[in-house]
Amino acid sequence: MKILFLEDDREIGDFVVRGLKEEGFTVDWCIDGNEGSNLAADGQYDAMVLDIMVPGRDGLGILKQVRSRKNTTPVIITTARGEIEDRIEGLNLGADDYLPKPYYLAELVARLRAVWRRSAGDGMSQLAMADLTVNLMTREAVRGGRMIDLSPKEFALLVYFMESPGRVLTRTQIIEHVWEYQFNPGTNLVDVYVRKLRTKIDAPQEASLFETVRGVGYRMVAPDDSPT
Amino acid sequence: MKRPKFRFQLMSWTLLLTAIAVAASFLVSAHSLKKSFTDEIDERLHRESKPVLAELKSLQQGGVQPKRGIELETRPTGLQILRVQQNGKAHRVQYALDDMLSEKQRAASVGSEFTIRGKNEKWRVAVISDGDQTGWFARSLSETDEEIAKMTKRYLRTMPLVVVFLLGSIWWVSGRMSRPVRELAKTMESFDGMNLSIRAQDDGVADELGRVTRSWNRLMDQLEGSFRQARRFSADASHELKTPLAALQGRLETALRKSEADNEVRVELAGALERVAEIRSTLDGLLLLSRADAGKLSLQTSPLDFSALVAECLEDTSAEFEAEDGKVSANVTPNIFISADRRLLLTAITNLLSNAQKYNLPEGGTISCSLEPVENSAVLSVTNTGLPIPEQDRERIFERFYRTKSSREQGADGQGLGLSLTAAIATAHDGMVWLEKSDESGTEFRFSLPLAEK
Repeated sequence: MKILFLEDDREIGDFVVRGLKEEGFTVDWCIDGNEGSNLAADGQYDAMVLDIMVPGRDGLGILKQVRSRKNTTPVIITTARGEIEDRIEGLNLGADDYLPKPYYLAELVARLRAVWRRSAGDGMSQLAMADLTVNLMTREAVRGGRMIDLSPKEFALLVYFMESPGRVLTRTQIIEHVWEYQFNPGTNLVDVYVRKLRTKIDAPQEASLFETVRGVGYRMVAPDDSPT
Repeated sequence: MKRPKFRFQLMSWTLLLTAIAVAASFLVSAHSLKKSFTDEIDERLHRESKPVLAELKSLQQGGVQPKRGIELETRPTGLQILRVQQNGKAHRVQYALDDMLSEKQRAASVGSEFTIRGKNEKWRVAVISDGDQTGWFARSLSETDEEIAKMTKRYLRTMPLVVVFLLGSIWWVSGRMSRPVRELAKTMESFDGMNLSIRAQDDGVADELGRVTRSWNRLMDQLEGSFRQARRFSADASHELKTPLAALQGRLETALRKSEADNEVRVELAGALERVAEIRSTLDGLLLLSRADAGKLSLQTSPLDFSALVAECLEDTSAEFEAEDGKVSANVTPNIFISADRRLLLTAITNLLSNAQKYNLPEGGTISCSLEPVENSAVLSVTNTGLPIPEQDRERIFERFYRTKSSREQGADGQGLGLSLTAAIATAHDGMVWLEKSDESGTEFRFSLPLAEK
């Protein structure tokens, strides 16, 4: 999956690019809006991540240019301003998603996969781990032929885990992704929901797909891949 | 103490003082008039009596004694001769008048003057001597008394006119004088604590009022200045802190991904990441509040099913609170629609519900939540068991970063922004949030928003 990444802050850009590469993305990083504009016009990308405030042509300008050429490549707009106006304008100009800074790399990865999936259609609508499959179109989860009934939040939680297999997700990352509201100190909502999800996914005789990383968070990992 | 209006005070005081001044001036002029008349009469008595005494003397040398009805050539009209005394012998001339003299007056020394009261009029008497004879001469004071009576009458007749004129002019003057005071008061009253740009009209006059006006305006300038600075400070600080925070968060996240093997390091990194999230959330809260202060909180409003939103939040609260052996009871009237910014409304509801959880009993607590339409509003009520909020904290719990002593002691997590955010969100939606009650039976907060128009 090839990404155009426009970000003028070298420090942030540096570890986002490294992180995305580790997740298997191919990234073209530019720090200047004019360069970004040229790359967007020429290159074939699966998705673009555009920061609004950059030197040269700004992220919204590039988005406008991309859409005016009937290019439907998924675009995620990022900004440190966090203004609602920016978000509304971005979405009105045809952005697929909006991510206020600072964002978690895990969140960017999840959003990139989600926008890409939506644009790619049916072929990408399935996630799998061991004998667990999740259909994102029909919103069904099946393990070993057994249909699992999940609430909307449990489903969102499961998808988030399965999109970053093997990666530890912290409680805060989880709560900010699954719940729309912000950091809520002292909450154990995540633990409660993971416990519920775990009981539903892992039947008594089945190998557990979840792993609690004490003091850190949780991750999903196929039994075979699990480090000993 | 109830004080009448400035204008009436001014009027009544002026009236009283004028009355005293007029009365005093009347008394003084009446007195001096009387004195000058009397002096004139005294002088006349002395002057006129001299030839009379001389005539009497020459008559006496001819053997004629002064007696009743004596005709004298030198006596002018109006001059009365009461008696004439010579060598210890008194000759009475005017019996009627002489009878009115007291013993003391008959023994009065030569040169003295006094007033006696007759039947119808007063008389001025002077005791005059030419060496041999001493005479008691008198003139009527009726003319003087008449003059004074006339003057009194004139005074009394013009008094009401003066009073009416004074009242009218004081009314006008006091109105003119108090108008700027009233205008200043009106301006000051219109200050509601929100609009800091209110200034009083300054006409540049250097009187006391001008000074009050300028002091008030200066005070407002300072207030507005420090308010604006405080607002800008939190907005600027939030922006400025976000960039390094983004880098910090990114580095920690990268480190966490790289530290698979060492769990101790991972725990530290995850903890640090949580803290970053906490700072970020505080910054976002401050930014939101500073926008709300400036009246620039932009809302992305859409019609919302308030009931469904509350039910969704309650689901989480139940899941979490019941895991801690608490009980949640809910009474949510379905299909209550409002127009609101979904994210902000969620923040407000979650704040109230998470407070109800945080400040609850350590075990076996309850939370009851209801949503119902009341007149034109949707009212969300959240009640929890636990220690009541102390009386002195109740006014201040909606202030930024304010935390009650007990909440600090309980060690409850939180930034102390929750309730002020909830209040700002309520206000931005033309709604409000308030503490309904807090006693042994529980603490209840209410949050109301206007219902969507149908």
